[in-house]
Amino acid sequence: MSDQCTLRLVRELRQVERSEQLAFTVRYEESNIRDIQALIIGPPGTPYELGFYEFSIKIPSDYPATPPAVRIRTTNKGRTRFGPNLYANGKVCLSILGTWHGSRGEQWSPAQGLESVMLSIQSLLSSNPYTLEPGFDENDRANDTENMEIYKSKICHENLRLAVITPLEQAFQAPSLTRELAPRVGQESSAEEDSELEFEPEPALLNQSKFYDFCKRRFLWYLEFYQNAIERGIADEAWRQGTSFIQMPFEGHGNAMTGKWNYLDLQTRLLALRDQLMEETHRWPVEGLVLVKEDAGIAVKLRGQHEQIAAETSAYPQVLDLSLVDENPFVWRLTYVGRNESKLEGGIIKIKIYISPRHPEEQPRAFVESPLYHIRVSKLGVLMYLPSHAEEIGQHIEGIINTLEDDNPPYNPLMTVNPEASALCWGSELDRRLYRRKLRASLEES
Amino acid sequence: MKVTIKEWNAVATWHWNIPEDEVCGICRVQFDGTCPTCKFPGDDCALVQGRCNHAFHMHCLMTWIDLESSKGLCPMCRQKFEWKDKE
Repeated sequence: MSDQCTLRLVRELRQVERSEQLAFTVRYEESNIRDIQALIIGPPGTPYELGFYEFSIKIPSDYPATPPAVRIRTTNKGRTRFGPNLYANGKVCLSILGTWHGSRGEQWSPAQGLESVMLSIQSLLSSNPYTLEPGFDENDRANDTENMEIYKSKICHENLRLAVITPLEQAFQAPSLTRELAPRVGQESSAEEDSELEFEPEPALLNQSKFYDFCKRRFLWYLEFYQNAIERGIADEAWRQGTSFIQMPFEGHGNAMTGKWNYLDLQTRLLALRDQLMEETHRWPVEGLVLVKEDAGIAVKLRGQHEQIAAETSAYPQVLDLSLVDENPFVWRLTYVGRNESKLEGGIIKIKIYISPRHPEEQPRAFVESPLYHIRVSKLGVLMYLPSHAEEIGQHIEGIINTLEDDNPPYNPLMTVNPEASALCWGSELDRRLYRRKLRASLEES
Repeated sequence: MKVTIKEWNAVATWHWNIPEDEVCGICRVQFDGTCPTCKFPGDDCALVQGRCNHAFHMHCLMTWIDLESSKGLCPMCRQKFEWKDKE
């Protein structure tokens, strides 16, 4: 039976890794594939929007005859219930997991799998979580409408605080990947650490640290969205600033979402994270130079890869140049010229690619140097692209070029790094014209 | 011209009477392959089809149906799983 479990699980994991969805990612050790960590991005348009929600998925030995055991780990150390079905103690109430009685069509069967479990969990991160509490789905109580709004409001706040800012702060507090991966006493890195409350050190878990770079990359993508959400919170909910969360009728007995509205604090912490992230990126070439002097393997390898990729791309008319900045193999500069009759026509775009000394555990970060008003370029200059293979630098370069070449990409809120440009690009005819005009104007400046 | 056939080797392929790229909903292996417990495809690792028209490797389905939690339902459509007689 165990054979059956492993064979099917390997198949499913491979499929999850191959699928190009951006909404979740999984990590596991080859030595024990039945112990899976999953990170789900809160669905856009919900109070959980673009938050990082961590789950542990344990696969039973008779899988797929019985469902996986799923726990939510984003619980603020067991203190926060993120939704009616996402308990503070980690329990996830879901009929397909057998943790909730559902109608027969909702229960587990071997036709279900990792992907359908992930989709079901995503559906718990809903746009109106209040109605997911049994008996509260009819809006038939006197204050249901009011409670729905309050519940959404506090989840929005805690989403930013506990599912975006806190995990990122931990990523920076955690021991660097270079030094060691083993647990270190006194250095915490739990996903549920709450900086406002007492400091409880916990050993760093390898699995968790595997999400750090993923979260940092996404944080750079979604930064403007987070900033806007916090600014909206400050402006629209000023009267709530400093007040305690109101409890829902179904919350209590240590299974609740308690705390205070404090968007001003979130703003300070978010900006500090942005600065830390940029500092970290700018430190890579400095660390890299040391490795160059030492003739370290990674430095030699990157230099070789650069030579090879530069030769390959020279045949490509859109790539004017691919060079090392100051001869440093840890910073590359790609000079790209827009293809005729494309939206980028004639524009010369310079992109600086920072490569981590810990590549591929930490993936490269690409920044557009000249001002470019583009749906895939954030205000900070972060270029959003998808490499088909994260390990190889060549695939990153290809991903960057593909992003620039893609003139009519489909709308995907998980790929939105420039909310304003995206609203125009996928807006009315008038908006679209305005987008093209702004893009042209930025190209002429470059 | 006269040809005398001295020797001949017959070669044949077979596959189940089911679209080739379809997989068993339980183990997710092609029907023409085996269930995870068998080594040789074919009669030793037969397929079953229910009245609901969903097919599985017989061994995969039996593992499920034997469980109390299955309540005898088809994993795909959750109707009562009843063997289809014909074929």
